[in-house]
Amino acid sequence: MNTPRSKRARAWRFDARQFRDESYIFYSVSEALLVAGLAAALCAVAGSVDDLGDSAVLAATSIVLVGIGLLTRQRLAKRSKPNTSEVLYGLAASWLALLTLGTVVYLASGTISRLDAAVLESAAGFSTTALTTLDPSELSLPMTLWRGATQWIGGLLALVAGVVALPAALHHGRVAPGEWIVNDELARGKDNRTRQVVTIYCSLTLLFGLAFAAGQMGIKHSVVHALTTVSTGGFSTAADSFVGFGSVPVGIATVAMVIAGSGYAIIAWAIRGRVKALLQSTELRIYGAILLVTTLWIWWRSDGLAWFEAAFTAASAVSTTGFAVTDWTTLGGGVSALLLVVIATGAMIGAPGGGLRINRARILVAYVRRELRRQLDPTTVVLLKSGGRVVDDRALERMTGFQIAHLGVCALAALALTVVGVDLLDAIYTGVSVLSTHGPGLGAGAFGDLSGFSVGPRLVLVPFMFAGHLSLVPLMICIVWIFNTKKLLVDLLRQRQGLRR
Amino acid sequence: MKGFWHSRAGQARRATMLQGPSNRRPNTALHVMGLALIFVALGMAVCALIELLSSNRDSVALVLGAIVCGGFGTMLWLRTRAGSTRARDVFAAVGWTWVTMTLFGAIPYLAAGTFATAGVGFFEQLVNSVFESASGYSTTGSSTLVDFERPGRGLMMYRQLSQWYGGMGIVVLAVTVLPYLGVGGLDLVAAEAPGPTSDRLAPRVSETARRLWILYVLLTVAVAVLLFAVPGPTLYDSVAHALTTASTGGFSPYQTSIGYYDSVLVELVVIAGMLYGAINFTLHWRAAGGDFAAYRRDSELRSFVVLILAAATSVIATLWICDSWGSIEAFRAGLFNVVSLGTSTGFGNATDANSVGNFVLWAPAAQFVILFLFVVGASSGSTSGGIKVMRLRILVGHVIRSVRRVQQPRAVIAVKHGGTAVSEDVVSRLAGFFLIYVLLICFGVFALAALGVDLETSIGTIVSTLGNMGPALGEAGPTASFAEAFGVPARLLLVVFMLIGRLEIFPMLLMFAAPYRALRQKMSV
Repeated sequence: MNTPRSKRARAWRFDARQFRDESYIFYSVSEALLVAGLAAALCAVAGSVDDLGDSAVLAATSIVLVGIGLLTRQRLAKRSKPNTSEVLYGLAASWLALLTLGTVVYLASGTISRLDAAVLESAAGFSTTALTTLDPSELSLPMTLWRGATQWIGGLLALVAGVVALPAALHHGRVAPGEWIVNDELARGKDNRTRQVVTIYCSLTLLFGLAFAAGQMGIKHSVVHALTTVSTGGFSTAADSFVGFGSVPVGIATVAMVIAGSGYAIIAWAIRGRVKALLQSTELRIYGAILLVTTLWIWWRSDGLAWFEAAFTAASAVSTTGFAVTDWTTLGGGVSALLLVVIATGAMIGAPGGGLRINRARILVAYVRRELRRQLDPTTVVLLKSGGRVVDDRALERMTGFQIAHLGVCALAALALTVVGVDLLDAIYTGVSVLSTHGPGLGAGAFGDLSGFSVGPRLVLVPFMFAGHLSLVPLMICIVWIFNTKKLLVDLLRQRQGLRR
Repeated sequence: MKGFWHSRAGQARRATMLQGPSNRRPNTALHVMGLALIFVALGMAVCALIELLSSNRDSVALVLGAIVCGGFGTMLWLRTRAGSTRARDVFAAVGWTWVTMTLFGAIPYLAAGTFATAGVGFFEQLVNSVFESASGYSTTGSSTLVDFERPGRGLMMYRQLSQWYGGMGIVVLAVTVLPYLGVGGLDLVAAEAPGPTSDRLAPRVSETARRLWILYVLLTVAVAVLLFAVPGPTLYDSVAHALTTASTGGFSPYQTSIGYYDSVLVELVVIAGMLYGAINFTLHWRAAGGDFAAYRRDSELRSFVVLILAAATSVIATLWICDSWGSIEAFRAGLFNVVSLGTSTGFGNATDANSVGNFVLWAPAAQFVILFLFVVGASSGSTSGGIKVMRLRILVGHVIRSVRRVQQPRAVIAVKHGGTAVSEDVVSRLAGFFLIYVLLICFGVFALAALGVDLETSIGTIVSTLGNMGPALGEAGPTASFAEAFGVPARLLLVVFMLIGRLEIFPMLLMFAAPYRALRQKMSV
């Protein structure tokens, strides 16, 4: 086999690889588009039995995307050790590329005729936010599947960003306090961890699909709901979400949402059968307690709502999925207020759901308690622990900074919505809900219907979906960009001054 | 005689006289509480005199209040002496003093039957009285009064005076006559004073407190004179409004507040008074000494001015463009309400529920700006509420630093305020304070909503109450009575939030620490 010709060929390949340009950003975008292309191909094939036109659009999209993806892979190499800015830009560019792709597909297929509605639908899909301007029951099969697939891809992107890319890039090997549990329990090394996470994600999708099918939901409904449950997305096949389905699918969806909102480290424990570790997990216990209290509160304060419907509503809010089985916005007695707090808190660390995350909230509460103790005795030294380890002050400082920034972005979202005419309360609720990638709320209603919103609010929501989905990455990008630009300008000015002298 | 007063021997004699014999029980909390109650009793007595000279409807209630407060206060003061000034004792002293003052301050309202209308039982009257008292002393300005014609002029003046006491702080007043508290006095002032830091105006804390009160009195007199000079307010009205303008409290003897006069001149005087009261009193003291540049140098004041101007411009533009009010009406209502809420005063200039001054009717964007002002408040070291502009500036610096460290993880980046680096300890405390503030808002909103209040009113009221604003959004707007908008349990919750907001959280949350420790020690013995 080691003929001179094959040796030459290998040497050529080696050389080609060596001289390929390294780009983390373009490579990330190409990977995202490749995944989207494969998903579009599957949707086109599966949906061809229902609507050939829409399937053709998806097939064409798939060919283009796979082509772009393969071409990029051939021309570019992925930088193995990207710097922080590259990772942030890579994630943002991937998301923007997917947003554009989704918009083009909706417009090209004629599913949506207005640009603003198409942008919103695409953004809601890839950010796993359960907001829509469409009546899903009127969509063709390929577009229904594609709509579900956008959320599945968005969930995967959030998971890879949150569990693999961001911890590695942002902390330079030093993981944030909340992510210790993730770091300890998932595989070491970026590639191994990515593979593990993708395997779990795909397995859960399959499992949920089978469970829904076993619950006599029908194949289309099962597939779409599996895709949008595992990603904590919340898109449904019906305008009124789960209202029309029976108690069995509702029960299955409740369990599925609870699993999807759990951290992937917890799921890894469960797969390995580490029951003791599961029972000892503080975050899991708090997650369970929040679910239980929310369920009981909704059940107590609502007239005629079954306990499993209350549990469904609680699971949907805690996991930031966005499915609904009842119009909970009309329930009084503090249900809306409680759900607002629960949605803002969000799911567990290492899950595709959004929000502040339970472990971070726990550490922040401990931080507050420490500050109270320090008021009484300023010299006291109180160590905060997470996962059995002491959280260092720098990590805490970073965490408080980001959580204050998160609140600031929530306020900014509400302000932007009020400027375009949304009522104050609706704006606050929708701002918080969208930043947690939940979606439904007092403004959009329990079923996330934005058809009543005008162009302004629809477009305003898009950047905040982006911000919520990628854990404030856009904010970081803006500030990093501002500082880079400032540095560049200062350097330029200095150079000019030097030339003059 | 003057020489003796200022001499060491004179000071020692006074200290001994005030402190009393050493066999008194050492308890800082009870001692300060007693002194505060004596001041409250003096205020009630003055108002009883006004009542006697005017309507003479509620003079008995005021005299009764003065006797009870004076008697109880004197008893506490004489039977105790200042003891430990450790942090937990300081928090207990300040926290319990305010609680006691609020409860005893309710006596005149209850005794006068201010809230005794058809269908209102004794317990609800008690709650309303405590609410009115808490709203007064905490300078919040929310009211459960429905019939403003019912109370006599003396009782209404007591209502105004309670805000004046609360503005600068009754404990600060107590410290002026407690020189023997020594170092602990500063802790007491710091625990009560608004803002993250408390600047000394003089080496001695008692002198600092005295100077603060002198400035405060001068401001009150100036506002009263100016109000009396413009057409509209009578002498009584001028004094009554001056008391609540200087304290950025917002109570008025009239249901329509400043809107009662419908006068631009009155509004301008009140705006000037509110802005003056919302600026750090240390700057006023420096300006009084001829250093007017102190105002320009202060970065917090610059930020406050920018904030107020930006808020006023956006609100006026919104009222003019979105709500289609006339330009003059929009300017007048926008400017007055932004200053009133930005300084956490809470005066209104709405002439009726449908006028432009009723901000509940404004466009959502303008309401959001108002909600933001509810949270921020004004300068530290002033009489205003909210989290304060200084804290906001430091927190923004903290956020920017956190993000910059994403790019440069090992960089040493200091958070700066006014050109100087803020210590890590202070940044950490401020972050803690802000997070507690947010947690309290979340808890309060949920609790109010659970008590049956709609969510918009819950959010607006909790944010407003914690910032000591007064009027809120939704059902609790500037022309609404809190007795009609909230049930009895909700009103009690709001009382707690007013006090927490006035004392900037920590004293109210930590005032149980000293009694709890004492109880534990007793149990262990």
